[in-house]
Amino acid sequence: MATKTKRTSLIGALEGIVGAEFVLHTPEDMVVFEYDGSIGKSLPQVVVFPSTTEQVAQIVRLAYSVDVPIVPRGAGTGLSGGAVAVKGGIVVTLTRMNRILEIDPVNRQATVEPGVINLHLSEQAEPHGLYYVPDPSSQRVCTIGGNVAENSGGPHCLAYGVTTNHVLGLEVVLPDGEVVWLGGPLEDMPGYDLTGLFVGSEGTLGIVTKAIVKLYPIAESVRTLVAVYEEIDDASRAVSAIIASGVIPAALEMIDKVTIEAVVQAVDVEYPSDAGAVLLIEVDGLKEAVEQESEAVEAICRDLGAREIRVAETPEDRERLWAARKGALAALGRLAPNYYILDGVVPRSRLMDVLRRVGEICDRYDFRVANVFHAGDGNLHPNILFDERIPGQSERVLEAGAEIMQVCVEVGGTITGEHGVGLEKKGFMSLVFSPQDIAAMEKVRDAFSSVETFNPCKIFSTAKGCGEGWRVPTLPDLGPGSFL
Amino acid sequence: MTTTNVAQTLAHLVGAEHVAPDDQLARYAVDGVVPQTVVFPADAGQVADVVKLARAEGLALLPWGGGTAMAAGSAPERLDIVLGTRRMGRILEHEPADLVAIVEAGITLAQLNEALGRHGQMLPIDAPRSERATIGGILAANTSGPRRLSYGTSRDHLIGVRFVDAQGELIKGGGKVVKNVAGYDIPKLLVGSLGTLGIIVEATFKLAPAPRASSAILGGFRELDQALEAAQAVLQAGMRPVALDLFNAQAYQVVAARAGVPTLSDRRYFLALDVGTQPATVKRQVDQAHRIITKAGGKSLVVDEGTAYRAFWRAAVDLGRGGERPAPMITRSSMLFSDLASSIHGHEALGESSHLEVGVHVHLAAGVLHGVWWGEANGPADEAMLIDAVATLRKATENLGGRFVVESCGPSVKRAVDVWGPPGPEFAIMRRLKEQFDPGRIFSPGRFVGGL
Ligand SMILES: Cc1cc2nc3c(=O)[nH]c(=O)nc-3n(C[C@H](O)[C@H](O)[C@H](O)COP(=O)(O)OP(=O)(O)OC[C@H]3O[C@@H](n4cnc5c(N)ncnc54)[C@H](O)[C@@H]3O)c2cc1C
Repeated sequence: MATKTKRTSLIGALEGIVGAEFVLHTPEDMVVFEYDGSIGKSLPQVVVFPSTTEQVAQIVRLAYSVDVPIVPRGAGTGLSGGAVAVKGGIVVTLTRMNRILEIDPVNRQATVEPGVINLHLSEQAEPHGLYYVPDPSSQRVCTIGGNVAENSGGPHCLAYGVTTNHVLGLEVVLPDGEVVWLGGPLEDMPGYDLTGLFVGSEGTLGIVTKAIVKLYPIAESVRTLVAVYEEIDDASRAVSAIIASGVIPAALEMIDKVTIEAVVQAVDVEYPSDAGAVLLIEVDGLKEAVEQESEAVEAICRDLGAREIRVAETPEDRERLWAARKGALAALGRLAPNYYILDGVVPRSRLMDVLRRVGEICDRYDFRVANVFHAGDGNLHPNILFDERIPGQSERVLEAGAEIMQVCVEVGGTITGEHGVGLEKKGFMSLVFSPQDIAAMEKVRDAFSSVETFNPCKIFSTAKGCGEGWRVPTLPDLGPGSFL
Repeated sequence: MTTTNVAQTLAHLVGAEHVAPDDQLARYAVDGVVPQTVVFPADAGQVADVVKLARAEGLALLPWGGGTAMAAGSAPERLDIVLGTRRMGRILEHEPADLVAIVEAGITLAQLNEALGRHGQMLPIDAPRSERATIGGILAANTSGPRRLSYGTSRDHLIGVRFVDAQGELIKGGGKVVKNVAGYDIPKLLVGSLGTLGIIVEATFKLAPAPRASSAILGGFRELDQALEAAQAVLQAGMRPVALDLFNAQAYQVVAARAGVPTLSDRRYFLALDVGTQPATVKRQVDQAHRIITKAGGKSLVVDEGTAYRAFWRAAVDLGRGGERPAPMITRSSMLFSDLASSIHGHEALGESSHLEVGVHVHLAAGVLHGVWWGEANGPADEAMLIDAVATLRKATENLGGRFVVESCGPSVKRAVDVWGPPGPEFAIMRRLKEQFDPGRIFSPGRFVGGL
């Protein structure tokens, strides 16, 4: 009874801050906010949609004062459970704060609210000949706030860097409700790089309420090509050879046979369905350089056994090739009811070896695996296909995933390249880091705040009281086209 | 422990021959503060031993790479041990096919780039006196230069780091792959921390392919507006310069004289575009830049492949640092590109009214302006005037919404000014970071922003 009153008065207080229409709390509504794009699942008690920094600050202060867990959320496409309310409590969804406040073409930067959808920013910058570089495959729905939290990457981050390389300043609400700017519109601010520390902190250090990001000039020339291989080994070798040759394409993506099988069913694209793997490569820049580099890339691809190379002749061709890549995850729903996506990174010279071992591991567990990933960065995305309705599969898929992460670390890589540790991988941090390394990260967290109820139980498995209350959950259905 | 005992213990830890003799201590003074001991550990383990000793005895420890940026920061509030990294200069791993290298902190930028160059690769960071400046020092001071336009700065290249913390533990952050979001981004913590959070012992970098062509085009203008108009046109014309810098006449004359490039003495402002990387694009960018420069009323000059090109950029990066005309004070103002004109005029006006001579060197797209301050007519600079200049410049920069820092100056100027300027509200987090990582204040105490 006591908790019920507490809950009702909390809802009342939140309604007082944002208005009743922007607070959800019925069980039916909560179910929608129970999960993100990952396998984690846990019900919040209330979801609130603020529209200003001041409202966010009030909500955070309220949660802090009554000791209720609070979790920031963007579009909920995260793949590591960052936006899942493990301990229940309040979910703060930032999607109403979706204004682009300024595009400054002279200084090549934009100031945006956290709920701005990634692609919208590039669309708005385009008339100025500019764009926002990081382009996660989820860019039609994911938010800049979520991107900042995860330090998201995307296919075009190979040459131009990931989110952290493009964020100048952040207005954040700290876990105790204080509002502060980290960085700002200028480069080289004196002092520790708080912006750099905040980017990639997975929503554990505060809530972004404004971001100042860099914009980049749209290249005058771009060439997109697809190299088709019989064998995935040859495609891997070609990736390593391209990087070693000193050409850094704008994008260098690999799509394997299983993924192609799904993609050709879902998207209007003529990828050869009998190929062992294809590389989707984009070179951009000054037209003279593009010509020369794409020729060099083509030559390497052929030398390493590409049976065919297709060049996008028109912008529409290019769009189609990319639609297939960006829609690949959603298309996997055609092959199996569920998939578990991994995000390991390996040195680029080790791709072939690691992909083989990924294949062997999945064979051993009797799972099909679809690889579609940022090959140029060595950032793998093995998607293990399974069916959660079959008893035991959900557990075994996690075991296979653990073995794959182990392999990535063994060859000198890491457990996550862009999706984050969140809930799902926190048990694997110790593969990469010593207890002292992790303690250093916890010091950073403590310097930002000591509020334990702020997005609790993420990244670190050392936190108190996080053992129970979250178990390996049942997995959400990811039907075809669920995100794109 | 007495000073003698500390020196003896250190000699025991690293070998007597790796502790500087007393008559050399003065060479390691920082802002006039002479350390009690200077020690050169061989590796991370010995660094940890030294740190443990400093911690146990409450001694202040200051890491020293090539000593090229020792005039940066506020004067240390205490200084007992200088820890030199010169014995830690190895390349630990370089896998050309991965475009990644792992190095010890004491390697110089020049040594590293020479080794990488043999594989057609490079670490595209600019640092003054690169034959002396070490990787550890460059990271700690967050040194950058002209090429930041296309390559970014240390924070964009550093993908992994090892440092010894205040407990003497060896801590790893990041890794050796180019994408990595496992936990917080610890490498970012160390970049620019000026030796106040730990001793960097190892760094892992994402490398870049070396350029296959090197060429620069210079434009000399009579008016600042013309130069800035040309710069704006370059940025809008879809060109991809590696660097786009601006010099006033005083700065340009020094650079040009040292590099052996024509001085164009009838011009007052100079644009310098690095249009290197690929042979196929050089000619086209040179032609394009020539048209833009001419249209804006400038006179253009190509500085080609080979010695002149290299010498020019080197002289630009080294401006005011050693060489023929070392400057008693170098300042740095960061602001938006659109506010630069007013600030440049402000610097020059101040130069005239204060009887100082000022060289202005700007990384345009980043909005970073270096003021290189000399005494008039090659004479010594009046310190009172330098001190006044700091107050005037800081106020003017802050009025434009910018930030102003004194990058280097002598000890007596330093005593009279706050080189960093007042920190903002986010300083509370910085202070807590320092408390978390260095509660006993053994690492370079007092040298950083806000007295950290
Ligand atoms: C089909 C698909 C493709 C994807 N492709 C890519 C890809 O190519 N590259 C890539 O990197 N990722 C990719 N992702 C993962 C995901 O889209 C990104 O992590 C994205 O940045 C999450 O944004 P979001 O708005 O959905 O954030 P959410 O999932 O809502 O939240 C993610 C994290 O950010 C925190 N957060 C959200 N908003 C804020 C805020 N304002 N302040 C502080 N913390 C906040 C949350 O607490 C949580 O920890 C993909 C996901 C899907 C489903």
